[in-house]
Amino acid sequence: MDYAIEVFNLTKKFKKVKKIPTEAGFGDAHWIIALGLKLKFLKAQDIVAVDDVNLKVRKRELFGLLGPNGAGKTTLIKCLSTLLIPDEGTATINGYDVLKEPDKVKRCINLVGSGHWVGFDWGLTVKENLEFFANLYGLKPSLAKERIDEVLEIVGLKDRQKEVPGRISSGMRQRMIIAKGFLIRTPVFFMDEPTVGLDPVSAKDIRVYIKEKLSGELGETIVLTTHYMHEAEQLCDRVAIMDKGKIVACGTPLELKGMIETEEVVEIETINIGTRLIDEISKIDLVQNVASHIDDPVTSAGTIRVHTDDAESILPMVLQSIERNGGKVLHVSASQPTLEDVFMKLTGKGLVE
Amino acid sequence: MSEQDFEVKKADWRTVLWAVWANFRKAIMGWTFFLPNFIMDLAGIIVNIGIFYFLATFTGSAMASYLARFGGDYAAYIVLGIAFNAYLGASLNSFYNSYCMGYWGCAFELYATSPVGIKAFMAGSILFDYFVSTISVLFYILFGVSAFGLGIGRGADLGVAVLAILLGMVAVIGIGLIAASTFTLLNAKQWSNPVTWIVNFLVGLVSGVYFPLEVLPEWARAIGYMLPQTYAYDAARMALLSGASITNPLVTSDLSRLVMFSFITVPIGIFFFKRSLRKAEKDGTLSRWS
Repeated sequence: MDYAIEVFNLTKKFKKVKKIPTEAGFGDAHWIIALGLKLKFLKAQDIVAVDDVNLKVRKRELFGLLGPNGAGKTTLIKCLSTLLIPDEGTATINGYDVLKEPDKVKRCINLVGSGHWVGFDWGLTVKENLEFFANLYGLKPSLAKERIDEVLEIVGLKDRQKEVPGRISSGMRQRMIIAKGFLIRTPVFFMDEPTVGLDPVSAKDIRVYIKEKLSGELGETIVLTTHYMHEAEQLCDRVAIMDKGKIVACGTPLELKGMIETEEVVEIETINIGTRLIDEISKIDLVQNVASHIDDPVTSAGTIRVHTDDAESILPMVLQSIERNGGKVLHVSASQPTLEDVFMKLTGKGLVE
Repeated sequence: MSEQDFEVKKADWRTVLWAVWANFRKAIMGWTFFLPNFIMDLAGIIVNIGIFYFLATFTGSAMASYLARFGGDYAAYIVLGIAFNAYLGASLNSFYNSYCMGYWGCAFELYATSPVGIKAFMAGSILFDYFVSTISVLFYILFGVSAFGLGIGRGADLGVAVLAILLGMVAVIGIGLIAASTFTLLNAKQWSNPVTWIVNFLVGLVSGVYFPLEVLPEWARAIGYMLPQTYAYDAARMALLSGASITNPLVTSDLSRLVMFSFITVPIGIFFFKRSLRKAEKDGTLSRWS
């Protein structure tokens, strides 16, 4: 068997549901409201979260799913980890069908979800929570102790292990979620935006552990979703770019960037970046795409990346536009294409919008 | 790492029991953590007994003619009714409540991907509900006997009473499972659902918890006879208050009806509960933040 994960025409749709009002005023008879909404729900339209996805992930591969929020990455991961039943198609994990053999699939996989609340016991300390998880997965006590000490060190929570989750910061709680994931060793590991909410140093340490220990040393097949392009570039052997439930491109970071290598990318650091300026630059002849990233919301200072076939011709016009819109150019450089540029080329928009 | 040598083993009974115990212990810790609430819970039982004792003293003579087969003591009748209702109430409500906790506390996704599954989570919190009910029942009976001298226990057939309540619990668990399934099937997620709402309402009114069915009009009695609680309370009270044994035709009739109810409600409950879990997996609503 060459592939750890194979996905065949997988589609997942959701009903567009209206939220139940929390203050409905029906007290204990709140279900009356729920029944009313149920009637509306039946008529609701479908949202296609994952749209006819086909995918193969090799064994021991570190595979990235890159896309903006709402692209369908988490839904796909949940279908693969048996938490969601797809509407069409199926997938296999280590040769086990997620629909027909979910119990076998569960023994092959590990999942780290994003969010600070998932399954914590707020009355137990960090360490006790990890002991609880280890027991839940049937880890032998001696192995559990050894593993807990190791992962607490990795995620930098060794000195906070006796605190309850409510007394540590949200970033530390995210690290606790990751620690929980690192406790268990399975052939396939799904990580859903693991570094969201982490400080740069912790995020880097965790990336190193994923790359060197889990992927390199232990040979786990890792599927990691992210909307950080640098994370995907730094970690992943191959990356699938998702947008609106579809996989729009798949390959190594180099292969993907090769898709736009004929284009030139000009990077301009400036202040006063605004919608009007970006619109104006977009309308300049020979400009293919424009993306911006604001670092300082007070001065709207940040970076504009302009994709073009002829940087020399468009640069004076771009600089004039910036000047007209009250900007001040701080730095101009020719840039290498990034995965974000690839994403923009394929979808016409940025990863973070 | 060998593909065949999975670190995550198939959950054995020890792991499942441990998970059940861990959730039970967690619920106990939660219950006793807020001491004022814990004390108020226990004090509420004492207050309840007091209210019903004095109510029974006030109306006891009027009820006497209806209570011949229960020993004639209305106060004992009513305290036992409330105590038994705590047990059968746990059977009715705990599955739905446990489902709510798993969903709103986001525990279901964690358990669903673990080898023990979500049933271990639910079993722990359901066990806790029964534990609390047991404490309530003991409190009701001990306090009722010691403080108000209720005539419970003299010449009682405890075995029959326990059997009646156990059979009642099984029959009501079927309804409890149907109630839990409304969480997903009817989207009744806000800690109340139509099944327990209606059944609790009917049980209080027509199953004989507070007064014998004989005082009710014919149509109300007919509704009462459709509830398993009616037969469980009837048989258990006869056993405890007038020492009726299993050979008593009225007791035998009650118990056989409870068995019949169990055969109907439990398979229906399991069917709907499985459907609701399947729907949650299809809709992606195993946990709130999913």
